Amino acid sequence: MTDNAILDLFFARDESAIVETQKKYASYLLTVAKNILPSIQDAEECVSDTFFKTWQVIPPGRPTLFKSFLAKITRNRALDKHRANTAKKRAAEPDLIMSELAESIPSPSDVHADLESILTAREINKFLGELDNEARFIFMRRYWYADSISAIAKNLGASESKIKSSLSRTRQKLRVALSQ
Amino acid sequence: MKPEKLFELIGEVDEKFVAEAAEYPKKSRRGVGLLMRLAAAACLVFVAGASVWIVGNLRSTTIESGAGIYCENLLLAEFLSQFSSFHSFGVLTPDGQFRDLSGRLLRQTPQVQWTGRQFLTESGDVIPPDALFVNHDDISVATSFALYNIGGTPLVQIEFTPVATLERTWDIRYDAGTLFPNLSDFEGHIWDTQHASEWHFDEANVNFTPVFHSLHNPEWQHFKHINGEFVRVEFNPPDGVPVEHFTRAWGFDENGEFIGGRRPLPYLREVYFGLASMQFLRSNEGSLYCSVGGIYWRVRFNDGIIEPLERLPWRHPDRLTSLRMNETEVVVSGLLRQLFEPESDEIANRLAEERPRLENDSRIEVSAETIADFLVSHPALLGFGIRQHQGMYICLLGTILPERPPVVGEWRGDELWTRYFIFEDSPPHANIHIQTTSDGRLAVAQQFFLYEIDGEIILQIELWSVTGEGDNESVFFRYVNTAWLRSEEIFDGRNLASLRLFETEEAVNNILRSRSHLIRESHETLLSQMKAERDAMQERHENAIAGAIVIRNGRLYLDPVEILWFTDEQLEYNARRLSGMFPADAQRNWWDVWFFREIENAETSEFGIGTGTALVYINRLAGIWGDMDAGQHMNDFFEYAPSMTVFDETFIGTSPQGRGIFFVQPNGTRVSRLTFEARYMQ
Repeated sequence: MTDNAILDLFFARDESAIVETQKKYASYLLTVAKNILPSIQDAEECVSDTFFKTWQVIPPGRPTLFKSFLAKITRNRALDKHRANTAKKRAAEPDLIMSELAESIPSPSDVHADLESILTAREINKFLGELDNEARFIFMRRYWYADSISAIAKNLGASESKIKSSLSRTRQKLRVALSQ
Repeated sequence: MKPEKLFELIGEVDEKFVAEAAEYPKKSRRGVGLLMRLAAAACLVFVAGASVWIVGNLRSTTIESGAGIYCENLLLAEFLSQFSSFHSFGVLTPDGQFRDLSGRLLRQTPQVQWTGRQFLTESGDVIPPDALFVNHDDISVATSFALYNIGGTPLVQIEFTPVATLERTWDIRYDAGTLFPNLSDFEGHIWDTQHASEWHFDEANVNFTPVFHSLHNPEWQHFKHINGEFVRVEFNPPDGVPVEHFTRAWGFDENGEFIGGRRPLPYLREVYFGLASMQFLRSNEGSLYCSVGGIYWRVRFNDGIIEPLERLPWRHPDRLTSLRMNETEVVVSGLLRQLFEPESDEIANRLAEERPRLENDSRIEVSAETIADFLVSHPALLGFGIRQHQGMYICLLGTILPERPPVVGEWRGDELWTRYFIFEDSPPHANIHIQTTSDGRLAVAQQFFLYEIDGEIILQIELWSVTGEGDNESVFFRYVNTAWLRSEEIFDGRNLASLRLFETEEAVNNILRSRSHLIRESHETLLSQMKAERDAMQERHENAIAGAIVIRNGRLYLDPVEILWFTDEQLEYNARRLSGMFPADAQRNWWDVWFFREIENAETSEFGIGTGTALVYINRLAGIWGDMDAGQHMNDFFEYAPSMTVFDETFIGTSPQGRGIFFVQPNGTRVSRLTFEARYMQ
């Protein structure tokens, strides 16, 4: 079923919208969640929450990129869950990603705290748009989808060192971009 | 900015970038997809004994390379959704016939779909998990499946087990503490945990125990092992939804409204937790049972009074569950009446016939006599109190004693945050020193109850393990000639119907209330706070555990409930409960619910109390705002909520394992909640 057809079901408040969404995207969303959460149960829950949230916001919303829309919700859910787990001293794998990203963060004085989030979001978008396709793809797979480096390397048919190198360069560029 | 924040911001980038990276380049994926299609078309099925092996070629991401063995439910779901041959998942009889999961003979390969959460028939009907256990001797059922990668070849195994075997192994499984047969005959088998979790069996309690994760079957299922037989009892809450383990369920209710995520039902929680040690069960035919002190009774509720109808020959002599009758029946009786109202005229008529006989019996009553009155008239009990390592001595009523009372028993030092003693000023027979449970776990006396059975005064002290591990225990004392004599089989030969309970909490509350100067939130204020918190959490996409807390009568009440998905009605219920619109007994019940949750927390870590949220509520109630998000680390709390210094040098925190809540001091030592209250809440 096409995304538009699924969205029509949502707008018609047809319960099968959830079923169709699940059929089409559950696996994908689960991958997104699982990359952030070590617990499969937590990941399942995030996906389930995603359906719930989607049902809540559509209508009136009608996302143009339905798949990305779903993935965003799942990612946010997973991140929240990860935070909660970490707060309870149950740290998970994404800590590695966090430590990598620390390299890209400018000093606190560089960015005014109140505007930090807004500016940074814009700058990241701009930054991504200026990256070459491959670097952007690798960056997104690592820091949006939270794929492991080995998984990225394997799926791209590249060596892990190449992926690491690309990520390192991109992080340094991001730091510069955020510092400006 | 923290890396976590950056990671979060990256999550908000333009969706076109997200979509662009949603899939790996097709060139690298095409080969895998081709392999999958080839594999699906060329699935090889081996029938070997009772097992069906399907050798396929799974997608590389499905099975971890080199992991050797890997099985996860979602992977299985993914697999099943891709391999049509698995839609024949069902029952294979010894003669090669297929039956559906309910045992019905099928003319053709059954089309049973596994969605990852439940089995569906072709028409989309949910097949309850217990249908996996079909009651036919001549057929096998698919009891497990496992995914492997052996020597580079992905394998899927479906285990078909004859029903007769299942029945024979029933007791074995019980002894092993799991409801499923141990099918790990071959090396490396990994059990399908999805199913195992559905059939939770609490061996320790050896009681009717709600089966969690009953997502497939919207009923609470209780099991009991009685005289070698395994008895299943249905329990049908009106909404048909278990409380805590609804978290991964989603669907549509009778009104067509979508139900997803967490949606705890507070009154069911109340029933479950509030009556945890006095379990109420309803059988299929509508009879209501309860277990008290390890003895099972058929009972009924009548205007808040528990009426025993019949003593049942079920007993577990090795376990005396605590008797807690004083604080529960008033608050929950109305709810229980809803839950346990006889459904059929037949049952109602039968109860009506029994009424004349019952009315001639002594019934369990809740006396107006208070614990305070009792203590005054029985001075020996005044010695029952606690000693804190800070040097203060507080009796159970909260009175700080001027000097160290003579203590009976040994003191092992300051490794514990509090100890409970019966002091020497009790009569000689009252030399009670409670510190360990029967199996040696260190415990504290959490609460005590007074009641009268057969004209004799009984004191029950409930022990809680200080670590939160294991079961609670109770010790019993008979009051004989102004002395307390410890008794073991306190209920043997007793007429439970003669039990007369002394109200305890009201007196305690009265005393504490007189000292309380803390904020008393109105129902409306609490409700608005909770609604605001819920809405804010939903707005922030937070899925953290929220809490509600109220300081009342000098005591701190915390509800680690998850309010995120509460409806307005559910919030209304909680706010009303919190704000004291229930009678005093309800407040006691509330306290107990809280503490039970804390213990539960320690055992499962699943109910991690959102410390930050709790503190938000504390701050709000105290009129001090702390900008805290739920689930933030304690370090964040110290950073963001310095206002908590209102409590001097004592802070509220979670244990290093995230278990429970206690109060910590800057030097790392813990103090008990009672100490905390005594010091700061008076």
